[in-house]
Amino acid sequence: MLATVASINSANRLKARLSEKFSVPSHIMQTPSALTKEGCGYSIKFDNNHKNTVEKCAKELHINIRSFFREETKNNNTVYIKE
Amino acid sequence: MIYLDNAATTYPKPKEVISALTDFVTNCGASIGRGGYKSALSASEMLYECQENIAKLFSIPSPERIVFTKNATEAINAAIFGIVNPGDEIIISSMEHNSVMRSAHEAVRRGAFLKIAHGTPEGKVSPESIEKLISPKTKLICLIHSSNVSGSINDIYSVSRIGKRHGVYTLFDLSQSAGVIPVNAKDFDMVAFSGHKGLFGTMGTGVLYVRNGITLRPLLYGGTGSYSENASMPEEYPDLFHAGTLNAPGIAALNEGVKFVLKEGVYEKEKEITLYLYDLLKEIPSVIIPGERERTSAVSVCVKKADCVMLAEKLSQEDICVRAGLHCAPLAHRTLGTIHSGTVRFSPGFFTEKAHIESAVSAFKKIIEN
Repeated sequence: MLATVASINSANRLKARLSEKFSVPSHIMQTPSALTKEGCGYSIKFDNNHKNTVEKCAKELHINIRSFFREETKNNNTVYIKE
Repeated sequence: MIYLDNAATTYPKPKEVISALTDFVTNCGASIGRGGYKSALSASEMLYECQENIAKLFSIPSPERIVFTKNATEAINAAIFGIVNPGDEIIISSMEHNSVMRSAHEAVRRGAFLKIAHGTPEGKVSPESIEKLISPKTKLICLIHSSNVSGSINDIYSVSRIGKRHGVYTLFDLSQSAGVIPVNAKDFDMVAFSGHKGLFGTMGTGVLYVRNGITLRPLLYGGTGSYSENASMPEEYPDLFHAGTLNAPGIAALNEGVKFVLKEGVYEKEKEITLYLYDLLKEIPSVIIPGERERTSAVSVCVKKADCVMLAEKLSQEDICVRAGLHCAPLAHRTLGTIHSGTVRFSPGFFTEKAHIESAVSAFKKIIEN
């Protein structure tokens, strides 16, 4: 699953806190162009079942998660479905 | 060479700082926030880590509100021009460096008003003298924590409380104190400092911290690697102040410098070596040292009937590095009574040994006697 955030700094803070406090592994990637109307951005990618933890962690850090996208594979292509 | 100009920039740097700088340039080399490949993400993570370490050192509650600039002057400009509007009043002190003094005068040219709180002949600015100047128009108080001329230390904690009581923002210039004496910025509005002085980073790094709830206009406008389709700057920190490519090698070096300060606890050693220098210089009969004994590492001296620049020149011939003149702080020299003569400033650092001090003072003594 992807959570899109406003900046690379927010992504780094979220990733660090998820790992340190919640032991949730995640990694940072550029937000796919199809998912953003505002140009370059960053997302953190994590396992689908950690969505609630990610939301909670972002709230603690006052980080605004712009959207969550579930990742699926259809006809050998990765598609993102907005949650 | 005996380097005694650490108030200008610290030298030498810890080996960890040099390694971080060369390692970044050699093995990473990517621009912060400009891409999704591993080295670009690692550069961005390094900036984040540097914010966290600075926050730890200064007890700053919101690390994301720490922004990187090219020096303390740029950080000070960002704070002043980001918050002061025409008609607002700024209070500065007579001990300020030109980084504040000239910026405040430019703010006046743009329609603000300026008041100056006068320091004592020892170079200290009392919180009461600042409070007396506050009026309903006062928007910002800028105060230097420690003078780059006399090393005098101002009570920024009381001034912060005064600002809060009157609803006036405060900006503290920590250029001489950051990494040299402990600073707790937890309750401060804004602080600005250099990265290349007491924090052992390289030149080209400065820091501005703006507490949550303060809205500033950015100083520069441009690409941030985020919200690229928007014509406006992103509101989020630190991106609001990170227009253009950042000095990533410098930030990598600064990160190691801050870690060095956190690890080594440099304060006591710097204090001891400064006081040792002060006491030896004080023994020379014709030497006058403005300011109190308790200070950060700037020890400026005047010598009766001697030209300070010529004294520094003669020390330079002995390979001893000191700085003479007005140190970009004419108001401070006026306050200390040294505006006409200037001073010779000796500023030791963490790596200065007692033997260096003894050699420098002995050479200085001989120069004066001849």
